[in-house]
Amino acid sequence: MHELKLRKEMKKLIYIIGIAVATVTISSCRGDDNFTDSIFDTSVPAVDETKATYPFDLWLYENFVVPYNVDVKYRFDLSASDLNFQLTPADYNRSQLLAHFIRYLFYDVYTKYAGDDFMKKYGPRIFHFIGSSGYSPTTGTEVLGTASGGVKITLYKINEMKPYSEGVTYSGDDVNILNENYFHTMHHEFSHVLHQTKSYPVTFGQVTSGSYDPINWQDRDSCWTHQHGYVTHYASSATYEDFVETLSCIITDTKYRWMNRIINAAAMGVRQGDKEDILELIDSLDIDLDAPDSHWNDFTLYEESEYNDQTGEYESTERYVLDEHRLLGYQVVNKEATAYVAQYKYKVLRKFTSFKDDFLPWVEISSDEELTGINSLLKKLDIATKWYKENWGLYAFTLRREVVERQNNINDYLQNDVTIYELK
Amino acid sequence: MKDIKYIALCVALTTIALAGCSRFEEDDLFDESAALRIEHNAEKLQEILVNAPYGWVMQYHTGRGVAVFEGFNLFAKFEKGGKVTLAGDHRYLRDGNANKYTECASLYELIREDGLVLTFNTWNDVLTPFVDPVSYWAAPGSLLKDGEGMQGDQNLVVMSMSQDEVICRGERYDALIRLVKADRDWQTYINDTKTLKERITNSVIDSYYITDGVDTMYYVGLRNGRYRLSERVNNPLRVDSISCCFTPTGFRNERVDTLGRYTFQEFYLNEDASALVSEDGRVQVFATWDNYIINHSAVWEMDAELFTEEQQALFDQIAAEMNTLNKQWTLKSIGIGRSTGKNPVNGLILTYYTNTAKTKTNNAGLELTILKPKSKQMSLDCTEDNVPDNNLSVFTSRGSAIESLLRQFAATLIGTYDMTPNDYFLPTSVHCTPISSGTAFTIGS
Repeated sequence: MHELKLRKEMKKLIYIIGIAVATVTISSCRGDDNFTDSIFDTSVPAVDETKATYPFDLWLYENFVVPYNVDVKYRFDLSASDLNFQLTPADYNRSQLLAHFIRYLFYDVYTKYAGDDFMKKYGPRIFHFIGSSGYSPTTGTEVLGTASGGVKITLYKINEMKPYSEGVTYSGDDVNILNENYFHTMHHEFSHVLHQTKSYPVTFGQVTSGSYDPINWQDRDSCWTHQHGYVTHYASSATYEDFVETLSCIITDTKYRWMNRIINAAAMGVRQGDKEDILELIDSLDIDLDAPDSHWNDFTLYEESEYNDQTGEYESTERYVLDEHRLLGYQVVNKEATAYVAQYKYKVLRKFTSFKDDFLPWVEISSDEELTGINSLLKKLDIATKWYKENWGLYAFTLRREVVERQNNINDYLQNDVTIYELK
Repeated sequence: MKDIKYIALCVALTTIALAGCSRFEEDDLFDESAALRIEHNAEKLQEILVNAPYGWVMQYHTGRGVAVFEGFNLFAKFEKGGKVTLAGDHRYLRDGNANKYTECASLYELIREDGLVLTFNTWNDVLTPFVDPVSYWAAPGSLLKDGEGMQGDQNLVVMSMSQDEVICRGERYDALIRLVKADRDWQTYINDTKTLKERITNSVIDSYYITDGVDTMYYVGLRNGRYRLSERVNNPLRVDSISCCFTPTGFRNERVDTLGRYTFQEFYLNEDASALVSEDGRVQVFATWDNYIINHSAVWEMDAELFTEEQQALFDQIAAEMNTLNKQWTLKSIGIGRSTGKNPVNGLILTYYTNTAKTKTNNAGLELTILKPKSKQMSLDCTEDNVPDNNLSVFTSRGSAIESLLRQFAATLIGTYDMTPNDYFLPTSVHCTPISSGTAFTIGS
């Protein structure tokens, strides 16, 4: 009896201890955390009035964030940059000016022809400005721009831009630098975004399918690339680069560059019907063939030959080149290994006084399959512009016309619509 | 038996429960979460940076490891809105501003990464040339792209902070960069630093001992702000390249270093301006002025005022002998150094005028054995093996007693001396106090 009573007491004691332990354990696990509001100051407005950059930030907010949901990162962000390169931040003055130009020469152009929602829907979400170029000492190449999955466009070399000052004017050369360093890149990268949304025809890549080279494209000179049907040497690196380079060149390349390209690409011969298409292309590019003092009515073609160090003779490279494409500085060791000699020699093939009445009639019509040049270029231009029209309702040559007109008015824009703010 | 089981069960349960609680009883390493700490550190650093009436001196270094460039004194004034004004007068300033005091405003930001990063994230004419990937040997006159530049950083990872000092490390290249709160206006700091630098460096003596009293190494080329640390001045086996920033009180190396058991980074000119001493006074840096005195290629003339009677008598006799040799010759001085002319010697040198107008001089010398037994000491010896130079030999061949008299004069100097210069970084005279034999004398240029 006593034992039973004791057992009951023990059981009771165990229950008590168990409850006590559980209570202690649970209470000790509850902790003292007292969750507060966010550690971040959520009361900060979209544009911080206390910042030294407030006026410009407000301008960006009104011109990029609100209409296009775009963040223009003019402050260098190391973790968001390409660590393969040593890079510098962009200059604040130049960043402001470039932001204005991007609005004027890029967003407003697309918006005008594709509607208010087009850039909001397909435009990049982030621009990142970098002061220096992405220079690679091993290849000697410079990265001018990159696009990351249609989200971010990184623009380099901002600090080589002509800066803003009171009464500054932009010359034609200054505008060309804008195109070469930024706007060619932007249209290039934006075209990537578009073709990553709606694929371009596979037939585009088939036109010059045998000669793309993703590794050594930079070793090709302009003459080679034009005579093999590419707008630029970078276009010859891959089909998708070729595609966007083609569109970007239509929109941003100068008349000078286009006519050099056409002459170069056609000089070795054209196919039946190409001459008519060339004239149509020139017309689409708004190039006046009869314009006075135009280089396309006063140029020389040269026959090129290259030194053969086995024979000691100069042998034809079987290409005709323009004055600016002559490779005059290159030297090689001669056959006897006794001296350096010029690697290339040039003989005047013919001087031309008119593109339309002299050069074009002179160009031979050939059915040679090896001859790609202008024929391939014309085919690819046709495919790319049709794709642009059919998929996006955009006519590339119209965009070009708009861009050129705006560039012609750039000094009015600078004077009337650009405000560059000092740090306050 | 059953009781024991119950008791054991109770003890086990209690132990488990208490053990479960015990882990909460450890002291917390931090009072806050990592995110909160970074956020609060950012707020704290912002306050520290902004609340500096004279702004900050930024002791800026570039590169990784072996120093290629000197340290640069930059100046920074931070404002709350993200504006920073940087200033400097370094040789890589562009647009014709090299070595000219230049100020430039740009932006800074405290960004929260794994730690806190102070970034200067828009171009600044004062700082960003160190980051720009252009060839440094052509800059600032020509900007040739080389993809690397001077390996400077604009993103500085904050390592530590106090009210007066912020220590950072370049995020990409790892150089240590120190911000120290300025105690005077920038131009005054530049002037004071320049004065100090000119006080302790010159183009004549640019080698320094660094010693803890036991071990001694050499700093060579301190004047450049980038110098070599080696075990000897010439043909060293080991050479490290170190960068430093000059300060109004001395200089500070980029990194902490050790010599023997002692650690040091910054040196301060001591009260008698004889040496630069480390933070705890254990390590000293002083110029190799003793080598300069001993190896000086010209002649240190002895101060005749301090001659002993014997020395004065010998001097007078030599002067008389000289006048006997040539009426136009007048003895100017006796000194220690190197004679000129044929078969020159290092030793005791007679300098004499060779015309009555006393506009032209010549010299004749007797070789001495001049050694440095310890730093700041000199020993002089002269035996029969020490030879005369050509001029002195000619005097002897003409029957003059000058060589003999000079040997007697040399005998009065034989001994070991403590040297005390009038300037420890570029002496123009030295007083020699005998330690063993010899007589006190002063030599000067």
